[in-house]
Parts: sequence; C-alpha cells; structure tokens
Amino acid sequence: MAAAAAEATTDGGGKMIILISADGKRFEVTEAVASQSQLISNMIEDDCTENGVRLPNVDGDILTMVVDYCNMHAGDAAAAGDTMKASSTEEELKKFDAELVQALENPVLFKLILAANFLNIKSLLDMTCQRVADMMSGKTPEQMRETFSIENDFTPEEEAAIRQENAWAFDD
Amino acid sequence: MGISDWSSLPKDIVIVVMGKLEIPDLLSAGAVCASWRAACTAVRRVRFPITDKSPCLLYSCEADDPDLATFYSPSNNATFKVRLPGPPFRRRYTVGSDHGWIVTADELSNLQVINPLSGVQIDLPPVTELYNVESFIDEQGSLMYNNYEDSMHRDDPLGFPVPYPSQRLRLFLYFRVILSCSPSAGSECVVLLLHSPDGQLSFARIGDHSWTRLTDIENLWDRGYRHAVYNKNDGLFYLLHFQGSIHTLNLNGPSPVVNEILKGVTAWDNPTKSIVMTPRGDMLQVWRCRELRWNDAPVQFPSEDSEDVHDPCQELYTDEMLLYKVDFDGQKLDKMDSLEDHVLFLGFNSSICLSAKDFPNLRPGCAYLADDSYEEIGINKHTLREVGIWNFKSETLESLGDPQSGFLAVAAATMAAAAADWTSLPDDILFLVMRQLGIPDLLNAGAVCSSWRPTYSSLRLPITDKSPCLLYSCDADADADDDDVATVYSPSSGATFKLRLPAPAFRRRYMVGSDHGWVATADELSNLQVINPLSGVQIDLPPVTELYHVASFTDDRGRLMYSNQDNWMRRHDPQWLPVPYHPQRLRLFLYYRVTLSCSPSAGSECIVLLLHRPDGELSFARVGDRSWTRLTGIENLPKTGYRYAFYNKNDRSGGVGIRVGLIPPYASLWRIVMMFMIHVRSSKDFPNLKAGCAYLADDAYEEICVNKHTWRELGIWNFKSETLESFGDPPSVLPWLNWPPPIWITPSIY
Repeated sequence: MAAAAAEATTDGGGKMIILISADGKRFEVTEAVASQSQLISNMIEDDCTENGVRLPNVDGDILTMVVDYCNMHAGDAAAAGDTMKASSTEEELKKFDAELVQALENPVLFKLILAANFLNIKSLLDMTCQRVADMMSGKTPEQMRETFSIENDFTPEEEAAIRQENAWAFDD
Repeated sequence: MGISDWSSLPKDIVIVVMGKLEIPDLLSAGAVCASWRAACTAVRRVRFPITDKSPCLLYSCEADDPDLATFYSPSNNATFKVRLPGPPFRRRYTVGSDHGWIVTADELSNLQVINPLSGVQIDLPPVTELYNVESFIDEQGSLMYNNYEDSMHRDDPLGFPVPYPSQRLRLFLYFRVILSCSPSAGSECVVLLLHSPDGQLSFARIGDHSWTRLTDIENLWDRGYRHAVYNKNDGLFYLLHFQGSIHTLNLNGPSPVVNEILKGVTAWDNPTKSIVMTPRGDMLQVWRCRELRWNDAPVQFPSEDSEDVHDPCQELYTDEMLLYKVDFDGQKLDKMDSLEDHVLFLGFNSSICLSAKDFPNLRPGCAYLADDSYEEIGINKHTLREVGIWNFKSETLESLGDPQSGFLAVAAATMAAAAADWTSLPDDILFLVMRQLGIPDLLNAGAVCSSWRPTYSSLRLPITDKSPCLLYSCDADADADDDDVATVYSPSSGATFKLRLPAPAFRRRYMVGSDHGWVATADELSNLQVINPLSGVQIDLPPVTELYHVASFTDDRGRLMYSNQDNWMRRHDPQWLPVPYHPQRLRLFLYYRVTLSCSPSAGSECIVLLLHRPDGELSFARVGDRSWTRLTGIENLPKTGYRYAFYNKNDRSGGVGIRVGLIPPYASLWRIVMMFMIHVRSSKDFPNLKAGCAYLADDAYEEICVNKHTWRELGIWNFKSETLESFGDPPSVLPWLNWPPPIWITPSIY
C-alpha cells in the first residue's frame, strides 16, 4: 500500500490521460497536467476519461501548444510547497509564457484563445486575451481592422455617430 | 522653411502614390500613420485583393516587365502583380512552391527560395554541391556543367558526364523541390530535392552550404522517385516511387531512416503520379495520363532559346486523371470515382487538397492543374503549358476563369494571408480582451466593427459630451484600501465611474489645478506633475527646489526638509530665517493655483503658470523644462498679490509670449471659487446642467494648509437664491473624501 502511494506521488498525479485532437493526434499527459483544464478536470471527476478525451474543436497544432503550456505550468502546483524551487520555476514560467505569447501569429493566437476558452484554462485565456489587447493598444480603429483582418461594416452614418460619440475624448 | 506635413497629403494623392509601391513597401507605408493607413487599405483592396488562404497561380504575364510576377487567385477571382528582386522572374525556372514561397532555378542553374509577397529571397546550396554535378569552362570561356547522368558502366559508379550550358542544366536536373516548412524558420526548414538522374534524392537545410545525397539507406531505392509530400503531423516526408510504392523518410534523427509503407503496384513510369494528403489525413495517389499532340500553329519564343525548343508545334495534354485512396492495411490502391467535396491543386507546387466548404468560390470535386511535366520542359522549354480545371465527371480540362493571357513559367503558391475571423470571437472573450484596454484604445476598439460594438458598449465610459466632471477620491474606496482609484462624476450625464491612476497614489496627491483634461497635482515631496486621468499619461514638472525661494536640506534627524524664504516683506531683515517645512507639508502652503495654456501633450507648447507663496507670486515653466522661471522685474507687473489666472487661447500673441489674464490683488475676492461657468448659448448644449448656476468645488488653499482634512464645499451655487444647492436630491454624486480636494476636470484623452 505504502509503496503504491509513493509511486503515485512520484508520478505527479499517477494516472495518464489521452487527449485526442480534431485531426486525430494523440497526447498522453498526467492527470495533474490535464486537470489545469477545468473541462477535463470535471471529466476526470465524472470518470469519463477512460477511452481518451476527444477534443473535436482543437487542432493538433494548437493542442500541442496547450499541452506544452500545461506541462510547464503543472510544475506550479507541485512546487508550491517548496519556496526556493517555486521562485526559480516562476522565472522560467514567465520566460516560457512570454516566449509563447510573443511567438503567436494572428490565426494561431485566435485558435489558441478559442481552445483555452473551450478547455477552460483560465491562466492561458487571460494571457492570450492580454496579448490581443496588446495588439490593439495604440492603434486606430482602421489599424485594428488591419491587424485582425476585419471589414469595416459600419455605414457612413453609423461611423459619423460613433465619431460624434467619441468627440469628447478626441477633440481638444 | 517649414516642415511639410506629409500626413495631410490629400487622400486621393496618397492613393496614387501608394498605387506605385510594391507590396512590402505598401504594407510598410500603411503603418506610418492613420491617414496613410486608410489610403493603404483602399489601395490594398485593389492591389492585394486576397482574403483567404487558398492557392494562387503565379505566372509571368506577356505584357509585363520580366521582373513582374502575376498572382491569380481562383477563389477571389482576382489578379494582382508583384515585382520580384533579381534575377528577373522570367529568367527563372519555377520548380517548387510551398508555404507561400517558391523555389526557382536561376540561369546558373542554382536554386533559391523566394517569398513573392515579402520579396525575401534565400539562396540554397549551389548546384555544384550536388554529388553528380561539376563545373568547367569550355573553349569559348563559358561556364558549363557536367552532369553524371547514368551509370551504364558498372565499373564507373558515377556514370558518364553529359555537358550542359549553365542555363540549360536546370531544365534536365530538377524534378521537384519540397519544403518541410516556411524557409523563414531557418535551419528548421528542410529542402528535399528530387533530381536527375532518374529521381534521386538530396536534401539541405536553409543555411547549409552543401547538398546531402540520400543513398545507401536501408529500404531506400537509389532512384525512381517522382513525387513527395511533407506531413507536418508526423514530421515525415512521404516519397512516391514511379511504381506507386510509398516510402517514409525521417530526417529528424542523427541519420536518415526510410520505411516502405506501400509496396509497388505498377511497373510503368507513365502516368505521372503524385501524393495528396486530404484535410482528414487520408492519403491519395493522383495519376495524370498525358498524350502528345501537334498544333498547326507553332508557339512563339525568344530566338536565343531556339536550342531549347525541339518542336514548337508539339504539346502534351492531359488525357485522363485517375484517383486512388491508399489502403495501407490492405497494401493496395482503392480507385475513387470522385473527389467528393475536395479541391486539388497540382503542379510543381507541393500538392494541396482543400475542403470546398471552406472556399465557396472554388469548384468542389475538381483539380486545379498547372503544368509540371519536367521531362517535356527539357525538350520544349516554351511549349504550351497546360493550366486549367480538371473536371473528374466530364473528364475534361476546363478553362481557369479568366486570368490574363500569356504566361511562361507557372507554379501555384499558397498565400500567407490571415485566416482567422476575429469578428466571430465570442462576446465573453472579447470582453476579457477589451477590459484590458486603456480608455483611448477602448474607444477605438468600439469603432472597429458592428460585431465588437455591443461588448464595447458594456464597458464604455458614461461620458457623451465635453462638460466638466468632478474628480475625487470616493469615501467607499477608503475601506477597500484602493488609494490609487479616482472617481469621476459627470453632472451632465449623472453618471459615475472609476479610474485607476499611476503612482503616486491618488489619495496622497494634492490637486492644485485642472485644465484641458489634465490635473496638476503635488506629490508628497511637494513636487508638481500633470496627469491625464483618462489616458494615464503623467509628466513631471520641474522640482519644487527649482523655485527661486525653496531649498532642500537634511535635518539633524537625517530627514529631507525644505526651507522656504517665504516672506517678501522681511527679505532684507537680517533677523529673518527661512521657514522649514516637512516635504509633504510644503505643498499645502506653497501652491495657490496652476494654469495650463494648452494640453501638456503638446510638449513645450504648453506653458504652466504657477501662482504661489509668498502672497501670489508668479513663476512659469514649459512642459519639459528643468526649472521654473520667476516672473519678476517686469514692467506693469506687480510682484505679488495674484490670486487667479486663466489662459485665453483666442488672443494668443503670435510666437514668443503668452498673455495671461491676471486678477490683480486689488480685485480682492474673499474666496475665489474654482468653477466653470456655462454661458447662455451653451446651456442648450448641456440640457442636464442648471443654467445660470455655478458648479463649485472647494479651492480654499488658505484653509487647506491649516485644516487639510476639513469639509470641502461642493455644490451648485444658485445666484438667484444665493444658496449652495446639492448635486440632485438624493445627491447623485457618491460621498467624497475631503482629501485630496475634489476638482473639476473636462475629460479628454490628449
């Protein structure tokens, strides 16, 4: 009994979970890694991860990034007791997060946000949303449309109304 | 003399200018300023009319310069041109395309990858780095290559050399080029080359100096490869042998590993075979059967190429296309009747299979073909290239819409355009994004498109006009320990909202003036700064010790102190000593008022006029100055006694100075209120404000230095009844703290 318990803890959560992307790519991750997704955490509680978790709206490429992220951040909780270890991990994590988020290109970022939302991984969702906000800041509406390939679908009248509404801020 | 304001160039002129730019320059120009951005967008719609990630035909248009390449997008039914860096596009041989890049062979038969949209070009290792090619100079002094083509003699492992002029070798040497990913990834990107003799394999990574021949590897045939694809999901190249067998090639480990995953099914090299991966991950083989025919009219070609044209009337045409699904378990090919809703793009490009659902303007179940008959190109460089849409039902090649006629080299290129539809972002996610934005960015985000508008509306400020608001620290925030939160109350809209300001904490500042949407505050070192609460921009004014009569010293307990020589009348009195102040107390005594000539965002244009102790003296500084200038010894200017000032932008005297309306000491008002008055005409503009009244905030600096936390008088002065009324009943303003003293501010972002 004691030996079995020790094994489970060194394993970092023991049981492995298989995640299957929309295009059939399979990822084997520990429970601790997977349960950073509130969605999967709930499934683990309900005991319905036996045959692998199919994620029909997450591509393999995106799921690779999500799994990388969760693997990095699974150390978080594990190291929480050990202050020394936690602080060095925190720095590594920051670097990892910064690099991940900087490397994201437009369509990938979009898909990653949807994946983070669907899988319900709050920290990843916050981080990717912040990235979008950073991409918007300092830009005019037109530049934002350019950045995000959005058509201006306002009628000239609507645009005039918006300008009027914002005049207090933009006219000196 | 003056500097031209290029951003004010009329839009129609900017459009003309931008219409002349190449695409990378056009994209750069669009990033210069907002007005150019708008023009750039207009030009882009014409110049670069691509809205999805479907393949385009890249070709040379007869009427164009040799370095212009034309894109035709079947999905957008649009054509646009790009100018490529040298050598001229028309002198290149396009032998591959993948990830938005094309692979070309120049007239020295060397390969390079080039991204036609960005213009970035990277050389691959020279052709002489292939094991079977060597260069030499012939008797005329021309560069020639020997290509060791076939090993007919068993005792000579290299075979015998065939000499080629440098620009001709490429037509015989290269079969296909496959890229594992975009060359912009550097050495991550593997370039796999299928080449003569008879479909051998060599590879290089971007940045490599030589080609590595793939030979003597278990399961790898020495030759006979005709097509290959890279599968990014498993990191393997899939090689197709002319016999229909498929081998995987793993170049990720220390040495190449090859496995046979499908055995050969035919002994015939004809038809031309290719592998296609479907979006679902199935693998297809497409067999293209060609026949020869002769036209009555010969094709036209440049006279210097006569050697490269064997028969100008001869052409190859596609007679039949066969589709097979690869059954790896059964080790066989299953014939397919149709492509269902898939669309194929075949040619020298890496084969592409799309789902027609994603591209409604493409023809489902059809193959968009470009010519890739390299065997024929070596014989007839200028023969008619077969381009069109293969209809699997009617088994005919149909015309490709209406691209401009006359092309030479042909390759399909995938575009790197963005595919994400950000307007479809769910509202709750958009809310998370917008809530991170500062106010100017939020306002702009709300003006982007109608689908973003509702989320913006749930977050926007309740300000709709340019009337003053009360800026104060709310009583309720005191418990929350949020001393950097400021509350804004708009009497015109009756609305209240909160802002978080940058350090130092709002509740630790003393507000001594407000103008143009900015507040002048004194921090706990009694230094002044101007801050725009909406944008969060803060600018330091010169330190307090730059005032002529303030000095700092360290007291006997090691604390910073100020001495203020603040009694003008006693300045010649030898008994008089400067008054010492704690740094956070000096501000209560020193500052009377601060007036700004314009928004501090105008930089040194903005003059900060300071009325200060002793007894209403004047000093000023421009934003960005390091010190205060004392106004003294000036004709007509009494030295002291000023109590109030305002700046009239209408009578600004040109150039140097400003004229400030100063209220002289003899117009002694017992209490001058910090107020704004709305003149009669304007009361119509602000129907919710009380006409004929004064909205008052407390500015009794004489009292503040004595009783910092005393009750601040706020309300609406009714001149008729001569009473101070409250802001509505019940008061619509939230309870305020007496410190810092609440102040009126007309919000503005700049």
